[in-house]
Amino acid sequence: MIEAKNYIRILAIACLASVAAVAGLNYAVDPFSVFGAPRIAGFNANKVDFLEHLRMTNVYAVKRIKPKCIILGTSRAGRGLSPDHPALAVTPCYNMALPAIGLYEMRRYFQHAQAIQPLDHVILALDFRVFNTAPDRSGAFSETRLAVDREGIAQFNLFSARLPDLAAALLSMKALLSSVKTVHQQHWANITLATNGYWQSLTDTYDHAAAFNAYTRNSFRRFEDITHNDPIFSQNADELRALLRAAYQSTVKVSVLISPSHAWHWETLHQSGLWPRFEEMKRMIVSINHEEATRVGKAEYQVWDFSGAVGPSLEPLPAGGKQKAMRWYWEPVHYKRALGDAGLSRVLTDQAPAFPVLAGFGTQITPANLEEHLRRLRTLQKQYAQAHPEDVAHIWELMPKNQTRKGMQ
Amino acid sequence: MLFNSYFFIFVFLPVTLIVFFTLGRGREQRAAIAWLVAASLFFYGWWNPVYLGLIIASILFNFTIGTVVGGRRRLAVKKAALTFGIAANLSVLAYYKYAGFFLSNLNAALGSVYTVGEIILPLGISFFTFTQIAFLVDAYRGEAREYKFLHYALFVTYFPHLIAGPVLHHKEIMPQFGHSSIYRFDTLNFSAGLTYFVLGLFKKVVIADSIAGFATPVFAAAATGASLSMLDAWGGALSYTFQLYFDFSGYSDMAIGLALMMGVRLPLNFDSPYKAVNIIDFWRRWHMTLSRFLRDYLYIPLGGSRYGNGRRYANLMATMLLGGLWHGAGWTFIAWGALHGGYLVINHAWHYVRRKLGHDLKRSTWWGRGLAILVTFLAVVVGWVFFRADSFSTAERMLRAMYTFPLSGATPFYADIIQASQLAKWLGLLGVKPAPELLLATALSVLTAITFFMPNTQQIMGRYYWAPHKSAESAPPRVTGRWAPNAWWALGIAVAGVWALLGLTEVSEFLYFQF
Repeated sequence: MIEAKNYIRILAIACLASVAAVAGLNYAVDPFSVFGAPRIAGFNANKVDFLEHLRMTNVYAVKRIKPKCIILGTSRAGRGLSPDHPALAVTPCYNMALPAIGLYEMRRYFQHAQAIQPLDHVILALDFRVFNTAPDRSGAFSETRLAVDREGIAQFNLFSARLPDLAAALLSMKALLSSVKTVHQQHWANITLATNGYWQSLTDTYDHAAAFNAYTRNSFRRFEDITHNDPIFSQNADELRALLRAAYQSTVKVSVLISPSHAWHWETLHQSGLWPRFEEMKRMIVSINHEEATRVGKAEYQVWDFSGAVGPSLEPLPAGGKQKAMRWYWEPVHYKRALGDAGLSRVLTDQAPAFPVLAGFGTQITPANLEEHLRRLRTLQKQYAQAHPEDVAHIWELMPKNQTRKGMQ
Repeated sequence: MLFNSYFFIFVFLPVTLIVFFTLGRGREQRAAIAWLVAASLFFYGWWNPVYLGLIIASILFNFTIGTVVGGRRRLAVKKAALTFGIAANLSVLAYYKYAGFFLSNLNAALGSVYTVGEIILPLGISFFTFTQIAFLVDAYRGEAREYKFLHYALFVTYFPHLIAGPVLHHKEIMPQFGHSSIYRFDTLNFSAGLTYFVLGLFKKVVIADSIAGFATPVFAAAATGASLSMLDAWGGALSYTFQLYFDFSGYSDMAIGLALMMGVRLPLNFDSPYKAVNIIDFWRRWHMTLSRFLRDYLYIPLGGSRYGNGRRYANLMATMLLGGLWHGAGWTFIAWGALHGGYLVINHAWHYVRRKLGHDLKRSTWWGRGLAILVTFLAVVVGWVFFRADSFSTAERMLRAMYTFPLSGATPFYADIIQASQLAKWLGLLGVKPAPELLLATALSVLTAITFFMPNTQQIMGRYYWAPHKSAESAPPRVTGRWAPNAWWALGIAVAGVWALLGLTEVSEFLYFQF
């Protein structure tokens, strides 16, 4: 009996000590940036394993920081749009971008941020993928951890959200793994999550040529799925309408951006036969924005289109290897902060572009000029194809069905 | 409520035990039993309170029928009551579990469009229905008697076994609640029960849930018609084979451990089934309380082996087909049952032939046993493919890929999944980045070693686990064991416990909840 009592005592002490040690480490390292623990250089300053739990991170960061401005978008916005842009510095801004996010989730995060602190400004970075992403079914997105439910009613959800999230950040094997990884990889991480939510690159060294090929193959596969996605496309359109309607009913200002991508990406889209659908997306954005503004009698929010084979998107691709860095792009899909800053300057300030190459970068689109703008982009894409036949042929070869055919030959 | 949840472990269980032992210390043990019933109903209702009414109605109904069947009445009345009771139980089970399946097949056969609406399967209905049918039959046979409603309610709802078994006999559990020792906190019982529970939790959370990540995507890919390599298919099938074993045996260990904390002994449900040397042996080791139920209440009443080999084989097939259907309303479950029925028939026939040839079945060589274990294991793996697949076409794609040579590497999608696993990430931190095929082989080899060469939970617990009275067939008392309440074991169990606790944030239900 005495043995058994000692057994329970030792077991309990060992469990409590281990749990306390794990929780202490996870709190101090704070790999998911949930607790706002101090960032110490060489220990936890770089959050190297932030992506997987970003849905949780962003929700709690907004609760903690209470920003007056948020950036919503996919990974393109995450990597390209920095809240440190001087034009955003006056309002504390947080980048809530998430990988593979659809408009339903964006709307819910908008509601969440609005409920925490009424916003002054929302930068809504849209792209073709946003409109072709189904609501998350993996469980990564949690309705219950947000400040309000779908109807905008405040919720707390201690047992279904707060405590599980606390446990996930303090007492989970994933958190422990991320903590160890964070400490271990401080000095050779490629990317980190800044305190303002920006996905900050820590190095410019990158094998652009390999990444261009890999992303193009990936885009082809994704575009193939998208061709069968009509219901998802219209669901996302409905969510955009709901988001803009809520925004017009408040005092928030929304700046809508259609993200830039390299001309390679637009050529990939063209070869996949989805160019008309992409134009349809732009028509729909402009039309919904116009209708919702008219509905409440307010001036329309600005919609800026940065897509198309124009200016920086024609940047030549360096040869293979990591020797030469690109100025504007990481690969065909993701743009660098330099281009993101140029885009934000175009939208938020009246300043002339800093470099000549940026002269035609970004067009404000309205119901009045949209068709002419679309015609212009079509022409520019044709011109790109004529001027870069080798790139066009290479992209065609990267199409999965052509790769299979090539392999068979 | 899940055993593998923070709320269960840190709130429900401590509160339930503290109040139970506090009430049990007094003279009025009925209050302690009432508390356990209330706590068990809360445990059940946590999932979906709507079905609390169903389980309460089921208990009331069966208790009433049980008093008629087990009372001093004419045999004809008792028989009629028993028939009515069994029919009513099976009807409720059929409605909730099989109505949709029946109508979809009827519609397919007749071209009709009958619908039954969406029916949510009440949790544990297969288990509490079978438990109560067994009670009615035992009462009819004069082997079980229960006059106290509260005791009967506890027998059915007792939370350690309510949702996924073990399937209990009234006579092996309820006498235990008559012992006053049950109501007093016993440090040794609690230590052993806690250890049992932690070992089960570890099997579920650390092993089963981890290997599930290598199984689920393969079956999902097969369901969509994706082409699989031989390695993908074997990786998926073997991973599921281990997942199911560690998941369900882990659950059963937890149930046994929880009861043991209160000094109550539940029957064993697993006895290293993959170490079985043939299929007959497998079914003596896998889900033992269900096998026992099917034997006592289906196979033997059908005639068992009393009417010659032909009838025996037919009875075996019928029992296994219904056993398959019990697991789920789907043709793949029936196929799984048929496959095992076929295995059993072949196994019995083989024994018959060998006996006729004068062989001594008790004699064997080590290599013969090894080969027999391997063949049995492979036969079981093929069965699990049908059990897990959502359709015959999925099962066919899996099996075709498993037996399509040559052995090729993992396809890119499976390689990505393996490389995204926690195991790969931990190894990556150590600077080890093995090929996905090697990583999968390593993980499966470790599980193979644990499964085939390590002692099982009851062998570890040894004399600290005793089978309930009158269930010697499922758990002979083991006098040797490795566990002892000392500091080294406390530290080892603490590591296992904390490791499992760190996995609780990834909520995952037990596979047998769906049955």
